[in-house]
Parts: sequence; structure tokens; C-alpha cells
Amino acid sequence: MPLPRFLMGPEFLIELIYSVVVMFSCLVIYFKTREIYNLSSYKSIKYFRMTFLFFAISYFLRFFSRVIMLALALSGPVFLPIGLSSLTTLLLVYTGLMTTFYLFYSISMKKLGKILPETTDYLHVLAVFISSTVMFLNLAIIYVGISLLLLLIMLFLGYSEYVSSERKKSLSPFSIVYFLLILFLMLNIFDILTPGFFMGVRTMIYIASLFLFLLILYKVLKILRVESNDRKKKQT
Amino acid sequence: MIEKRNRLKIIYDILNMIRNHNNSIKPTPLLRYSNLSSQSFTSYLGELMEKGFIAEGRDKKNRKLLILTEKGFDYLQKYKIITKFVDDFNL
Repeated sequence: MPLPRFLMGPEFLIELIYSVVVMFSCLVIYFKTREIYNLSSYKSIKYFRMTFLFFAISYFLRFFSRVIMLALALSGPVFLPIGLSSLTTLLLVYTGLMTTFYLFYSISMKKLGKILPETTDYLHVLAVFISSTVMFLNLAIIYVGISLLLLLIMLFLGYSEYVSSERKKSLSPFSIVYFLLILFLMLNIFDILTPGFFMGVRTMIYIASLFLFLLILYKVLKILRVESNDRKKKQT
Repeated sequence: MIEKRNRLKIIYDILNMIRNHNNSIKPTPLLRYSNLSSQSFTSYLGELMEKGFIAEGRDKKNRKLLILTEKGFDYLQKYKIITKFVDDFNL
């Protein structure tokens, strides 16, 4: 049986490679940091790990949505179970919001730890409510607005920490990296909600976000490897 | 951040103190060295025992001793990496 046309095109291959690399990076970050979280029980590390788990799920769902779109565009009408596309998009918006929420929690705990509720269950309820609203009202702008608002608060927290620090140590480059990662995820999801939104700059966004995910993966592995090398040296 | 940072450091100090005393110390001197209030010390000790970082032992006179478990040693070894991770990723 011949393969459907869309599976042989370059677009599918690009989507596949992009999604697999991002998902792989995120899952490696998630699993490699399990031990230091188990030892420290440090809440920010927990939310950092959850952020990358949800990044992986979001990019998986996004890949699935893109494949459906490519199939419809390149192979003409295809048989899809009723509601599959809408359900995938709903889940994508939900996981995208959860990614943003967890990242917000992760980098805000040190500043807002006493204000933020201990449990994050309400975030799931909130994300389900917002994603359902986005889907039923067909208003992608709600998702974008909430994500942008959280991004601005995160940037403000990063900047205020820098200003208030006594040593005036340089602003962490990861504040900017986190901002860009969420921005790219937001654009990627917006592209699904509003097809063709950033068709012209899609490749640029793919390359930039791949670079950032690989940068974080490299940094995580480097920190872990330095430590394990130190231990080996002590043992010898 | 400061509170949480201190928590990681306090745990490190408690575990390190036990290690530096040939891995067995009585609770009272440990409380003294830890520079914590009695209430905080009890809370930290309870948490560390619950997580399996510290175990109870007995000396020849059947007095209570605190000893590090393998997990406790593991924390001491990985303390630097945890703080570096938290610092570098601005967590």
C-alpha cells in the first residue's frame, strides 16, 4: 500500500525531526533531574521538571495537530474520527497553559513562595477552563493574552531580583531563555489555532527554539556530568 | 529563595556535622552545633529521618545516636550540584 502523499513531503520530515528533537531534549531533562529533586525536595526543581514534561507533551500534541493539517492540505479529505482534531487542539492549549503555569511557579517560588498556594491542582482546573473557553469561543487571543501576561510577570520578577540583589550579579541568561521558550511555544500553538499565522518565519522559529532546548539540555547534562566526574576522581 | 536556600544549607550542615563526628553523634550536641532552635531542629530531624537521610543507632551504653544513611551521604555528595543547578537555572 503506498504511503499517503503528505508523509513523503519535506514538511512532514521537518515537523518530525523538530518535534522528536524537542521531545527528546525535554524528556532527558525531566528524567535526568529526578535524582536531585528526590534528594533535595526543592519545589522549584519540581516545577522546572514539570515544565519540561509538559513541554514534551505539548510538542507531541502539536506534532499530531500539524500532521492532521498536513494530511488535510496535501492528501485532500481524509477520514478522521469526529472531534479528533478539536480534542487534540483542546489538549494542546491545555498543556501549553500548564507549561507556562509550571514555569511561572518554578521561577517565582523564591519570590512568591509564601503567596502561591502549595497545591497546583487549581492550575489544572484553570487551564481546562481557559482552554475550553478558547475552543468554544474560537478566541485564540485569550490564550495568547494569558501567556503574555504571565511572561511579563516572569520577566518583571527576574528584573526586580536583579535590581534588588546586593551584589548586582548579572541577570541570569536563563530568564531570557525561559521567556523565549514560552514565546515560541505560544507562537507554535497560535499557529495551530490560526493556521498559517507565521508561515513565513516558521523555519526561523524552529531553529531558534531547537537551539534553546539543546542549550538547556547541554547545561543540565554538563552540571550533572561535572558532579559525577568529581565523584569518580574521588573514588580513584 | 533565601528561606529555601537556607533550608538546603541547613540540611547540609546537619548531615555534615554527623559525618564529621565519625558518623555517629548524640542528638543534644547535634542540636547545639546546628545553631537552630529546638523546635526547628526537631522539625528538620524528623524530616531527615522520615526521608531516610538519618537513622537511629545505639551506643554501648544504649544511648541514642544519629547516623547517616547511604542517602544522607548521597545528599552531601550532591549538595554542590543541587546548589549549582538552582543558581544556574535561576530557580
